[in-house]
Amino acid sequence: MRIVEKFPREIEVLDPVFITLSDGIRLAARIWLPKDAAQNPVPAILEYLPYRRRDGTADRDATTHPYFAGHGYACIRVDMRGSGDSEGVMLGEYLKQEQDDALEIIDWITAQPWCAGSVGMIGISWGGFNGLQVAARRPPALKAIVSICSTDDRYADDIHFMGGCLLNDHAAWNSYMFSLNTTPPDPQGAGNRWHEVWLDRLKGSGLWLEDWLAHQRRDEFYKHGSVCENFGDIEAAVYAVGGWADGYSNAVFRLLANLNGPCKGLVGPWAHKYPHFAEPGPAIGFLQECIRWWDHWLKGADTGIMDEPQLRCWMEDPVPPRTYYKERPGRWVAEEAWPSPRITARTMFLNADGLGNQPGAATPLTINSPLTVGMMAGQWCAHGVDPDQPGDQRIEAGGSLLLDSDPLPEALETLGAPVVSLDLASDKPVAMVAVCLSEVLPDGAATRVSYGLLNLTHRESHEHPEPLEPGKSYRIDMQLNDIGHRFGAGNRIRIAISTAYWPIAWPSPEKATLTIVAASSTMRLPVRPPSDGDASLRPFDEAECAPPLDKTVLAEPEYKWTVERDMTTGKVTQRQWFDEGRTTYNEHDGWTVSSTHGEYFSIDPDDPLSAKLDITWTELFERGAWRVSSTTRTVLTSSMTHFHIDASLEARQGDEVVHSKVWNSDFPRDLV
Amino acid sequence: MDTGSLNFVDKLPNDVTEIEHIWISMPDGVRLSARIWMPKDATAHPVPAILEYIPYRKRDGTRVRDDCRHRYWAGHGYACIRLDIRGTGDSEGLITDEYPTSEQDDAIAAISWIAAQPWCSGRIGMTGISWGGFNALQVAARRPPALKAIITHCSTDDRYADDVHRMGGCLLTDGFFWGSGFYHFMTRPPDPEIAGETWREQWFERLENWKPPASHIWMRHQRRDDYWRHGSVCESYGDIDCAVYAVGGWEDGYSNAVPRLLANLSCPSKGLVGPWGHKYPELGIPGPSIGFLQHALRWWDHWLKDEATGIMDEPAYTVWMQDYIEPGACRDFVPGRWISEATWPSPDIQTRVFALNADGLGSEAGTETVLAHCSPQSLGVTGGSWCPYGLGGTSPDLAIDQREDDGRSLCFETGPLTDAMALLGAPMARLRIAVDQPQGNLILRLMNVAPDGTAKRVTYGILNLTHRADHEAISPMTPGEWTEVTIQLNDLAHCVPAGHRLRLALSTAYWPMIWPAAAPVELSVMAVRSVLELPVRPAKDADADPPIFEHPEMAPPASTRTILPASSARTVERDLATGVWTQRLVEDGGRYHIDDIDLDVADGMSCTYSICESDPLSADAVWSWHSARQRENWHVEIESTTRLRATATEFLVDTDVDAREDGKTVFSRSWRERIPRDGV
Repeated sequence: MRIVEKFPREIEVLDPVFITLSDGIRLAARIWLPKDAAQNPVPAILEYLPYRRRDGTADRDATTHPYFAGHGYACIRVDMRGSGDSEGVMLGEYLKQEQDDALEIIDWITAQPWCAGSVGMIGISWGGFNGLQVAARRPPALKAIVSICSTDDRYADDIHFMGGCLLNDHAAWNSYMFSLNTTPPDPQGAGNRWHEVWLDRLKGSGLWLEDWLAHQRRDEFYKHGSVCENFGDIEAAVYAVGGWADGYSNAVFRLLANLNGPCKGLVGPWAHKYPHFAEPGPAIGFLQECIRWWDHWLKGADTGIMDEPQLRCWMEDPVPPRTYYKERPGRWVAEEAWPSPRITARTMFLNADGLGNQPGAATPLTINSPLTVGMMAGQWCAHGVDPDQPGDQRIEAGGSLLLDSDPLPEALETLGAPVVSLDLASDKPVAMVAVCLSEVLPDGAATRVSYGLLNLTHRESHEHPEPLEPGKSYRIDMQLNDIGHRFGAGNRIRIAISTAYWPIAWPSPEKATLTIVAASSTMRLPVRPPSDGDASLRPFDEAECAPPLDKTVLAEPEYKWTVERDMTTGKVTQRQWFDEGRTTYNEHDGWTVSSTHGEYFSIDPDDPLSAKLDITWTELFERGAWRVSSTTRTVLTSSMTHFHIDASLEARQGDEVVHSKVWNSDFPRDLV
Repeated sequence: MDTGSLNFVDKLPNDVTEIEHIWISMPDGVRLSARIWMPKDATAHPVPAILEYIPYRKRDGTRVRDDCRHRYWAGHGYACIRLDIRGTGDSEGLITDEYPTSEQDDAIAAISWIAAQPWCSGRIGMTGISWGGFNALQVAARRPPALKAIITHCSTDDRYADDVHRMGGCLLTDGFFWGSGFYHFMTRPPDPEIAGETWREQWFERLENWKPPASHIWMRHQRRDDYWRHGSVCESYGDIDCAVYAVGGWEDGYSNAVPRLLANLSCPSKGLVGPWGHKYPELGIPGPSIGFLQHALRWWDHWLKDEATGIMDEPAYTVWMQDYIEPGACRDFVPGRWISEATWPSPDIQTRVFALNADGLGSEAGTETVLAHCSPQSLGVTGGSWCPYGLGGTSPDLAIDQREDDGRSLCFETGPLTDAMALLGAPMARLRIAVDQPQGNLILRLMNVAPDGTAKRVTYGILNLTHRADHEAISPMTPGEWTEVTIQLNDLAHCVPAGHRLRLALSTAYWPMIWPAAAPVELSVMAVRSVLELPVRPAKDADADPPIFEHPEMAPPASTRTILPASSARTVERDLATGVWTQRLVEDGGRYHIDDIDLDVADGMSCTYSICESDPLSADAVWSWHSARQRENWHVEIESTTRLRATATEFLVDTDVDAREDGKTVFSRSWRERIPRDGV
């Protein structure tokens, strides 16, 4: 990473800046802008998040926003209502209130003397979601967005559900937000009202998991904020960016295929991080790429960016399975448009003796997996810095129905979404299937390339699930996650089918046996022919950013990530323990932050009702003798009929408990 | 099915006299300490004697079970002698190793002494489990005239092939589990109440002279040399002329010896294998346990009292034919039925041959294919213990669902069986293979795969490929060269139901059961040219009339009071960041008070086995033991740790011991041994 200290324009930082909304709530913002912006107004770039500009994202903000500002933009990093130093209470993700607030913020920005009038939005994850969601509201000043690791479909491709299966990341993510909602404003940022603002937050933000578990199918709750409901609403230019190791890469392809307005797509080897520092590498000069995008759309400069192919992807080479990669070997490839007419489907048949190019005999194959299949699956949404990617899939193979191809006579390059069609029957009315696509190396090690989950009650519709009729045959189609992967010559392609995928997904209430008819079940791989254009693609610049934040690390972060089997009880537990260390933010007068969280996922391989998620977060904020801390815990279990939540919150100032609350609630299982 | 239940019998045909301690002098003047039970009127009416001769401390080690067994037989007209081996328990002298000639010499002297006692009729039997089973065979091979019959439990006739140290020429980590414990346990002092003022002197003599046997003896003999031939009665079965009853358990490490003894002994012999681990059958777990003490009386009465109990008219070989049950690390019961064979080997066993085809195990050879495999070093995590010793069989020691290892192995599977297949005997695999290293290990596991996919290991076999032709004249593999190897899997009696499948899994690692080869091994198997031969037992008419055993009964155990309960644990943890797998075991006997001798006793251990799945040289095993003995005015404690690691060329064995009296360290010693790898 190249650190850039000198920019075309000198910049200044304003913090805190309060933006007063029409209902009187004041949102805190940090603004970086050229010193002469009032004389020479500039376009603005908004990043709008709940993750605390003053400490949570301060590191990253310091490397990105000054960079854009130094290239002639006013960058506004706003703490959402109810977060950071902002007032109000946050009641959920992506609520209409959030978008309404954003529209007011954009109005406020365009009214500032330093603003030339056009605005862009950028963000990763939440900030990528709301870039799309606000764009769909069409504020006139919003001309372009860069949406990284986000989704257009909050049910299909977000942290809550995958193929109608309940993701454990859903409750893990709740636990994080539950904890975040207990964190205080900085008294030096929010001023004297900080305690009142904090108490409002503690008492008012609630346990979101309760709202979420009340919606297990694709109803209005998830349609709101899903721009796929009407892609045509978006007119601003969209640059959709994702990473193969991330949970959100499918959205890039869907956005390109469906948006009417100008759009581009970029998918690298990355996990859930900005591409200029993401792992697995290689990272790219993403900030320079953004400048080319902003200059085109916000300044009308001819950067040539829109003359380039619409979709650019990192075509990944075969690699041995690892839970962490510093880099993924591969190369950049591009398609002029997506969907690309160049991609062809190659059908492979799921035969009793493996994956074949011709159908074999229509043999019934059965699978009833131990519930521990999935322990090597990595995270639904990998961050790339922890061992959160899928390891050697052989450990899962024994509990899966395996269909291996012969060694490939030559390399096979794929781009897009594999589609698996299964003729199957279940012996239980509620069942799930997980399909993993792996590459088996000559030594037998298996690297997962893609996967898909399907709650079989959702086989026709995510909005109107129907129980299975035990024993009845169904034809189901499953789209696996999009891939850009080159299978190597001599390697095998493996389909591994399992009836469980813990701890990625909550298990079905009963262990089901699936009967899958070989030969009539198929996989269609999106085969990409070579392209001469790949060699002449404009190379990305070297990754660079603005100088890092002035902070003092008092304790380094640590983590431990294990899977333990207790031979006495048979129970298997995945434990993720993170200590985020202890950091002083020097700009803010000794403001010191530490946090830990432990995430435990345990299950008995034979008992779906033994599934348990247990997550605890602690937060600590200090300045001198002033201390504010909180502990939150979320435990999720289930019976045949219900999900059960046990949650608790305790917040302290010094040693005094300022607020505590316990939740115990049941939610009927809705065919999940 | 009645799994049997403990039945403590207070009323026995004879009143029993007990001698807590009596000296038996050896020819060199060293005195061994014995505990004896006999009918009160034995001097008036002499009785045959039964000797159990082990190093596990009659006074505070095996006291509970000794009371149950020996008092029972004494009550039925036998003099039972429980003798501490030289240098152990309350016996004088020094122990030097397992099964040295001097141990057998002492036994012969003890047998002469017993036969000469006024209460002894002159006929003697020996019995014991594990060590006591071994030395019964070893002493029988020396033919002391008074020794007429033995019952040998969980023992071996071949100290290299089927003992805790080696399997197929591979190093069993259980050899160090046991070896570190053996070292530790023999550092305990005699009880001052027996030894008197000299107890401390004897203790220090033990501490000063006793060296860790694993590093100082056993690892110096990595091949099957004269060291291992000694004490292996298979070297000359004809040496044994007294009657031999060999007893084992399918979950035990020693069951192969039972059919081998039956097949090779020329003396009268019987064999019994139940579903048990390393336990006496009256306490056998997994169950069903049986009334073995009553059954043994029929044996003793026949051979030591000339009574017509009919036991020798019964079939020679009786086994528990095991049915499928879902595997689990703790199992208290295995379904099945008792069956018998009139003789062993049995002419009724048929060999069924399966070809290892690319598409599975077939009765016909398929097309010739080469299949390649390289195991991750952590493969074996589902394997359980080579020999489940733990806490009366209740520890989580057994093999679990094999699927996690199967997915990482090279597997050959049949289709669902159309008919049930009962297997009795030792499967044999004949394989055509090549490897890319001069040394490597090959592990074969045979699974019964249920319709729901659960895979139960029913037997397995292991071969150090440098030992493919001979366990002494070893020869490195030539990388890349095709070689025929034969591997005999452990004997089994298992019935695979119709609808289940058989799966043979090949791997090149089996951690932590065996120490890994120095480098990862790429294995190539020439399918079709490789076969698996299974011993199939057809149903027979006699099965309708199965052997029947009584419910277990025994004399009441010694009175004890629990101070800290016993505990056991086994966990396997994999660190997703480092790829290191760590298996942790705890076997703690807790702390208890023996009322008879007013003594607090504590013994226990924990161990860890860790390995990085990509690096065989990362293998690291640590065994930690602790013991304490305490009564008023006497308090001794011992802690010891043994650690085993290896480089590509050497084994590194560290042993540390620390002995304390009244809380103060009185003895410490450390050994750091480096021993060249010899084709292991």
